[in-house]
Amino acid sequence: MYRSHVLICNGTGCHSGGATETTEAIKKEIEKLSLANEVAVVPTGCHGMCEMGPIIVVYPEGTFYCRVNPEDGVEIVREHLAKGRTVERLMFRESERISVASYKELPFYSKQKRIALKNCGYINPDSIEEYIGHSGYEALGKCLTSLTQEQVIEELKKSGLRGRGGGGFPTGLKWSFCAKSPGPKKYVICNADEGDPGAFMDRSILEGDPHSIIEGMAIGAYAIGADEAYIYCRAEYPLAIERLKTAIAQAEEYGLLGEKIFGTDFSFEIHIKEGAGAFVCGEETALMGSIEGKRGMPRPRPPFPAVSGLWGKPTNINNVETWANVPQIILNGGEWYASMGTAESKGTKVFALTGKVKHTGLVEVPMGVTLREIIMEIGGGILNDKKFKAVQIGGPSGGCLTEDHLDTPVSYEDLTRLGAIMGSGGLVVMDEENCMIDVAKFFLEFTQRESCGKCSPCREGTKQMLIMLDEITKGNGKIEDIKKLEELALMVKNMSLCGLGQTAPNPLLTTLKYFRHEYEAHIIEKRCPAHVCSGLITFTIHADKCKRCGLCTKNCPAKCISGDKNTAYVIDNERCVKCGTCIDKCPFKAITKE
Amino acid sequence: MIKLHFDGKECTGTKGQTILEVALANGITTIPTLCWLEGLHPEGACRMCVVEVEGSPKMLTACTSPAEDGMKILTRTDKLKEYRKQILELLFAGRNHFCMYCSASGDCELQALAIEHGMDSVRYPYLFPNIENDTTSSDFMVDRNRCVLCDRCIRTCQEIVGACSLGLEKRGWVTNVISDLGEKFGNSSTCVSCGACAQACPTGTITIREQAYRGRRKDCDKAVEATCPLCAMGCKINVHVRRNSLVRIDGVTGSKYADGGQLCRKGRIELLRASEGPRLTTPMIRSGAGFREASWDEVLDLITEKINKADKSKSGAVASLMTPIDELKYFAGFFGALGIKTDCREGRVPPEAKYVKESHVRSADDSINDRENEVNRMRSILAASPWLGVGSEPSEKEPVGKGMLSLDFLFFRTTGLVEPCVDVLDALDHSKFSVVQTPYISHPMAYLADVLIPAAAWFELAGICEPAVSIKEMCEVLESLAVRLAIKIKEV
Ligand SMILES: Cc1cc2nc3c(=O)[nH]c(=O)nc-3n(C[C@H](O)[C@H](O)[C@H](O)COP(=O)(O)O)c2cc1C
Ligand code: SF4
Ligand code: SF4
Ligand code: SF4
Ligand code: FES
Repeated sequence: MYRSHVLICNGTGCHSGGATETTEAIKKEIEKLSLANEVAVVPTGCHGMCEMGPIIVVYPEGTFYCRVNPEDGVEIVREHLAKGRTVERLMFRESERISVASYKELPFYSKQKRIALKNCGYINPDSIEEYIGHSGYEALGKCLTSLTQEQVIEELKKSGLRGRGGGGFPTGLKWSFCAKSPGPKKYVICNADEGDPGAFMDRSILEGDPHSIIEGMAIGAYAIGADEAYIYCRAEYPLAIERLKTAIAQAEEYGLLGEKIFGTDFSFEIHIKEGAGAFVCGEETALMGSIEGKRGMPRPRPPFPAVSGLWGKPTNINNVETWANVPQIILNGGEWYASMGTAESKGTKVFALTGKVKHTGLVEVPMGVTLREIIMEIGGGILNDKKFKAVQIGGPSGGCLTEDHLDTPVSYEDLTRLGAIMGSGGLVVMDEENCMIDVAKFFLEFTQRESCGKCSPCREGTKQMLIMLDEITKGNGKIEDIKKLEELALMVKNMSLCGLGQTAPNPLLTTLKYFRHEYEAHIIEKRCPAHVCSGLITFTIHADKCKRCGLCTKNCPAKCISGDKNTAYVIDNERCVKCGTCIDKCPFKAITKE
Repeated sequence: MIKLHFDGKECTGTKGQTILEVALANGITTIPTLCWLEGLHPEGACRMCVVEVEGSPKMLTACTSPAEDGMKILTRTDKLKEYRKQILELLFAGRNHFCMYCSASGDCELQALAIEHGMDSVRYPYLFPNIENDTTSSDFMVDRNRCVLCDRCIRTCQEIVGACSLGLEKRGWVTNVISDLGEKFGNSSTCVSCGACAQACPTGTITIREQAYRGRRKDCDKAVEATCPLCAMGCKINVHVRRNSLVRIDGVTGSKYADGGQLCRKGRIELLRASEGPRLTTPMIRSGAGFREASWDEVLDLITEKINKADKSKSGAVASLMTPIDELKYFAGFFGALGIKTDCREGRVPPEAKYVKESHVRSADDSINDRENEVNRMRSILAASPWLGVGSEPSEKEPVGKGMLSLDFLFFRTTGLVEPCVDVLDALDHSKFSVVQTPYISHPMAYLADVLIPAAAWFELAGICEPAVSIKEMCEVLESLAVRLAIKIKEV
């Protein structure tokens, strides 16, 4: 028994923040002080608050240390572990004065409900014993020994779990389709492609709790009658792939994968397939094509994967987060899961909170909490206390919602009603310095680039929409463009083959709906209210404030500021590249942009 | 059996059919298609074939969606018309579709759709992408500026030809059709130059040089289904004819025939090229270094005289392998009655004609041999003659011995589609008197003959074109000779 556990986050964020060096330093210091028999060091998965990394939590107190460098680590060992004095300096600060002592008290965590992320940050992902110690593989045992296939599916149906990969299709129902498909050979697939830029919820689970996915998949395979599975993971997640490989090997060693699991007739094996990272390869039919070695391009459905999937066999594909929820549902019952959430959206959802909020990171909340709670309470409000302007929800094909929608409960039905989507759970918060047309353009640029090029509305339509948006941001927009954009966006939405094209117009459509005045300002007044679109801003030096120091001229990369001690300084806006350097350099705040 | 309604009209189909299949089987023509092609797996790429189903907000692509009993399908609502038009405008704006400079104009399915949908202007800016053309192949040209990425060429090459030469490169708006993972068409190591992709292409992207400026399908007077004369595979061909001359040869698409609409390079390209040589229009008799025109009577009398004088054991008759079987029977019967040995052979495949490599097409080659065996019942005079062995090619190998060889009389019936083989040329060279019956005046064969008599070309024999000249059929010629020689043609 150890008297203390030091949990060091080894998620990607903390890893690149120097967690490895810190771990080394801490281990050395523990050796030095001969504490090795009393204190255990546990590398864990992500805690979610990556921006504060490397993160260290000391148990049993649950003291939460942030941004711990190697020297800080040594200090924590000497002070906290050896002498029992917490290192105030390194603890998370809620505000200037109060530092929060324990994990549980952090507002970032107190509003969260962790099911999919339950073990992330608590256990060593490379240790199957720790997973088993946290009731791991109990659910699988329960299914194999005391539940029929129908009962497992029934439990999933009762839970109301819906696919977390974006589509939100009821998982139990999907399983039942595949279970009903005839044939001796079936597959299950875990979609770990996670192509949304900036998203890392699946990655955190893969890296922090790989066994939960394996267990979930085994349960799913048992329920539908499959004996083989693939985890399709992007090659850009080397750590995730490493951990998955370790976990699969461990599970095989423990007889939890392979032939005759738990002495039953159920046999199950899992392969890992590394994807090259195309966004569209996350689409299920493209993904299966990619596993088969073809070019990753969606194909029309029907036939649905449940009927004809991988290599033409009935296949059930679910997202990482969906799979991770499964063991918990079996252990605690479908009703328990369904007790959380709204009428049509049950349980919890993991979001990647980014943008202009104080605390960015991964958060798992019960369905039905409002956007305000997520942004203002968990996220701690807008960065630098600026004004909230919009939140883009659902990844690159999500929608932009406004202040008026902040009290909307987060659920599939409410978000869809507003023109946004749950997506895989991206939440980008924007303040008054974000131009909504620029935002729409940014996302469209992504979907346009990632379109597979197969169907004409998506391939050609996204390009034309992007061109029109670009013209608008350059000040060349015409008022008819708004109507043209709307028509085109609707056509692409209705006519595209796969989800990519069908949702790509969402950022455009929602900004047109909720921020139309900004479009009009760009087109009619030739003005970008957020001062973002370089084609529409001018820089002015105010003679009354200018002390003629010449710093702006010296620093201007375009060399477009003229003047000297005797004549006033002026900016030639024709040549100005709108970089804003002069504003930053002027010590007298004499330059403004308009 | 299932019942569906298309714009109110009741139609029947069977379970498992797509909406489009039911529509086509019932004569519904109001569903436009672009990427769909009979005989290929539907791809659902162009989205032109979308239809609405009453009571459902979804738009379904008719080419991929299964037909369900009781569906009430709408094929031309205002919304659909508008959406289809928008797609067409996007396609026109996306690449360079300037029809007046395109060899497919008039034949182009994209153009036809635009006209049908009243697309008289494009509301989006033309993008003029910088796309490379590929003119490296000696048989095809690929102008990707006209490509609509319908994938028909790729699927054809994969599903029908089996060569799998074509694929897509890149993503999004810069996606393009490529061969051999980006290798230039001319350097492709997998392409068998069959031209099936060009036939499948709805636009002017992939064109066959040999066809490009002969004319368009739309300008043709007729298209006749026939059998390719080149080998025993007997692929079905669709011959487009304009003012009595051949414009292009297509495969017969769809699953009607075993060949699946596939043709080899010879059938599609070589045959067309070979069908075009200078025609022999009247009988000719050698006169010094050249020929003079002669009447049929004069020629027939001359031949009769020479046959009568000839030592029959030192005479021969050779017919092309591609001669129609009815003619061959006559041929064998006539010379058999005279006691003259017959043989069947035509030329070699010219070395520059890249032969089809793929398995099911290669069997065409084998079939020539099969057929040769079949007609070998008529024995090989050339092989049996003391002076010449098959393949001995004395002019190449034993130039001295060559002078000792000689035939009194030789009759050669050729289709003129490929060059005669050296055996035949040697035999012609060493005959005291030789008659060549040919549709074309082709060299060097014509130099070697003493008498040339015109024959019908393969497309005339097949009834594709009217015989352009006053030609006597072979049976007629042999019949006249039999009367003059006072013999009776044997039944074969
Ligand atoms: C363009 C596109 C990209 C997608 N990317 C992903 C992805 O990265 N991860 C994922 O789980 N699902 C993705 N999906 C959704 C999948 O197609 C599929 O619906 C999902 O894997 C089903 O699992 P679920 O029911 O558990 O959500 C994507 C869909 C589309 C149309
Ligand atoms: S919608 Fe876009 S990504 Fe999907 S099939 Fe069409 S072109 Fe490809
Ligand atoms: S010519 Fe034939 S083999 Fe070559 S790419 Fe076209 S279809 Fe394929
Ligand atoms: S080359 Fe022709 S057949 Fe091939 S994709 Fe382009 S338009 Fe279609
Ligand atoms: S014809 Fe159906 S999608 Fe192209």
